[in-house]
Amino acid sequence: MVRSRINGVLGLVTALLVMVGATFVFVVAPIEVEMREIQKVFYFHVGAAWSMFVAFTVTAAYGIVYLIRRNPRADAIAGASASVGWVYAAIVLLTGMLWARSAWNTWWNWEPRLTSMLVLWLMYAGYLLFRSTTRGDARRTYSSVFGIVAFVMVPIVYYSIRIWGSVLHPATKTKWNLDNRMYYGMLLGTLAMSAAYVLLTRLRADVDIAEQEVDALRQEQMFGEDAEG
Amino acid sequence: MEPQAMRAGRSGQFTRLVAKDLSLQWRNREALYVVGLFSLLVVLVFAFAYGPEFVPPGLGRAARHGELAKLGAAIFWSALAFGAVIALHRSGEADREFGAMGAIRLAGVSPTAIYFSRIVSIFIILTAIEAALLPAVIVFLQVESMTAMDVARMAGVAALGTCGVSTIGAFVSTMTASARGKESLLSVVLLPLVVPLLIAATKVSVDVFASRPISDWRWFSLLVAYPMLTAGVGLALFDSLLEE
Amino acid sequence: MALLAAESVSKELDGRLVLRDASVELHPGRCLALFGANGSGKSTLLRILATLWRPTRGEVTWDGKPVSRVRATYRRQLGYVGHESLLYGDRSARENLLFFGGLYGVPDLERRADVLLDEVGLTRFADIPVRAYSRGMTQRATLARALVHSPRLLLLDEPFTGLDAAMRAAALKRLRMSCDEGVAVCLVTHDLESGYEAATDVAFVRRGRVEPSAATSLEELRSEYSGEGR
Repeated sequence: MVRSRINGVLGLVTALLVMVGATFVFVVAPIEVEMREIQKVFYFHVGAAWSMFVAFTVTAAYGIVYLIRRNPRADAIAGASASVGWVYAAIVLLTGMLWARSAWNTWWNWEPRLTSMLVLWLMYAGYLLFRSTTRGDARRTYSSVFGIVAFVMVPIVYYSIRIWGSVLHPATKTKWNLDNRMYYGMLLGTLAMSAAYVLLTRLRADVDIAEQEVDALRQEQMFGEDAEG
Repeated sequence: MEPQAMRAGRSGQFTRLVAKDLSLQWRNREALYVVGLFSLLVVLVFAFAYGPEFVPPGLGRAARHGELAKLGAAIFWSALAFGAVIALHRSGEADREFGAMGAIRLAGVSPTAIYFSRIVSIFIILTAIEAALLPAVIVFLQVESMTAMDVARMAGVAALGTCGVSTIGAFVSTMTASARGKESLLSVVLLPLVVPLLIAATKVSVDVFASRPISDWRWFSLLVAYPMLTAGVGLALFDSLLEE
Repeated sequence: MALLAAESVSKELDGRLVLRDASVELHPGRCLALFGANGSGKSTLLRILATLWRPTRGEVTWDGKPVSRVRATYRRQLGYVGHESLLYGDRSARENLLFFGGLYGVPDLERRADVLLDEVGLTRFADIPVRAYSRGMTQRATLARALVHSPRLLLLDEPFTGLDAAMRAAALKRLRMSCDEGVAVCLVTHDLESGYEAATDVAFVRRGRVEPSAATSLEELRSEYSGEGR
């Protein structure tokens, strides 16, 4: 009851943020001189990237929590966070490709950030596949372990630019030379994406738990009939 | 009999595990030949797909050699990656067949000893494959200006890369094998994890194949750091893999 | 105090609760027989007692200490026979015994292996790979493997499977002897006669729970057991 109320409030907040953010991005923020309309992609790109980092960190953290406390809910959250994070990673890759096509006339470029990002995406695809083919305690333990191992890649993606340098991505600490309205657009976009992440993760985790309960009940029923018969 | 009286030393258990792995591998060495042959075939396929023929004619000797070094390094590590997937599918099969790994755990062998013994035996198998792979790459891709010194350097680089593949491989194959019947997931789990390592190893190997000093030490550091990082994570988590 | 105790242990396998709050105690010199239908959770319970699986909930204690704390020490004092032989198929019974005995650091191992092989009647086949063994021979090799380090605790899952009458009698005798020497035994089986003969205590595993039996004779046990299926 309380959970669904929290989710309701979260949903409202998310919807509001998305609307305000979209207004800023599409109406208030000016059209950028060089990139024209394609620059709008940037708001989604940055927002999704930020939430993706959070998502995979949450997956690894809850994986550790699960291994220590053996609490099934921790695993459900870790799994949910990874699946949302994976979708966000896909958004990051796709928006990045749109940008690349428009700015440099190519869909793909094997620079460190893009390469490591693709590897990251593939890694979590493996995680989700692994998760979907196992059940019960085994799934919880192994996917927690996997979530922690895969996290090795996250700092590599994050620091790839500083280590290897990049012609296409600004180093993380560069002072942004942004129009104020663009800046708020980016901020609101990131907030909206993050709120959506929290909401989706919570819902996905609830569904995961519910699925497990249904599964248990079904097995229980079969098992019961077997023992009675 | 009191347990104190028969406490086998940790190093004793470790060497027994490695010796057992290797002798089992030796008894089934046909399987090892299959992996070696497969890796050679990968070299062949790649050599046809983008081998020396594709290096544009009219390049100077040095430039041509540089191009071939790139191809050689790339093909060496790709072939090893594919070979490793096949080798890892089979590794630990004897431990699983009748559940002998359970009896090893019951003998009080620490997860650390089990993990490291697996790393060592995988390392030895992969090294054996590389011993066949390296001459093949040198010959078929015509990276002929390599000196004995370069070959020795390459052996060093290969050992570092193989170290990394083994630490990850020992971990991942245990994970996919103990999750009942999920062996088919091995490749999709293993390859993304070894890609950073393969990239670094390839970059460093290009210099070695081209008889140059290493030009970018950042790749070399990754080649050294990644195995240590993955071994650390693997060590911390290996126990959880065994307990389910 | 019990040598080994499981307290409200539950285990979820593939999404199903196979064990639910099962509790059991083992004492030195006593042999507990656990009877149960297929799928009742008795093998799972034994695997958890052997620390091969981690319980989803609940705890197993050894001498009052959680086994997760004293795991290596505890493991080295237990002998386990499961559905699988836990042997290497490509190696002979002798090689298997030497390998596992070596891991335990058993002194005078060669002789110990010979004695055990003789005891389970495998001397003639000691140098043939286990893979080529019949069911009963594999079972005998498994028993030898479980006994190689003279454990203080025996966890046996259907130890009599595939054994002929003579071998079964010998195994029973050996079990009772171990009990008299102060070994704690837990025996899981659906074979009432053999189980009853070996046991000092009897319990049933029903739908993932352990329920002590009040039966004082084989007949009572049998009627209690047949009531199970309905």
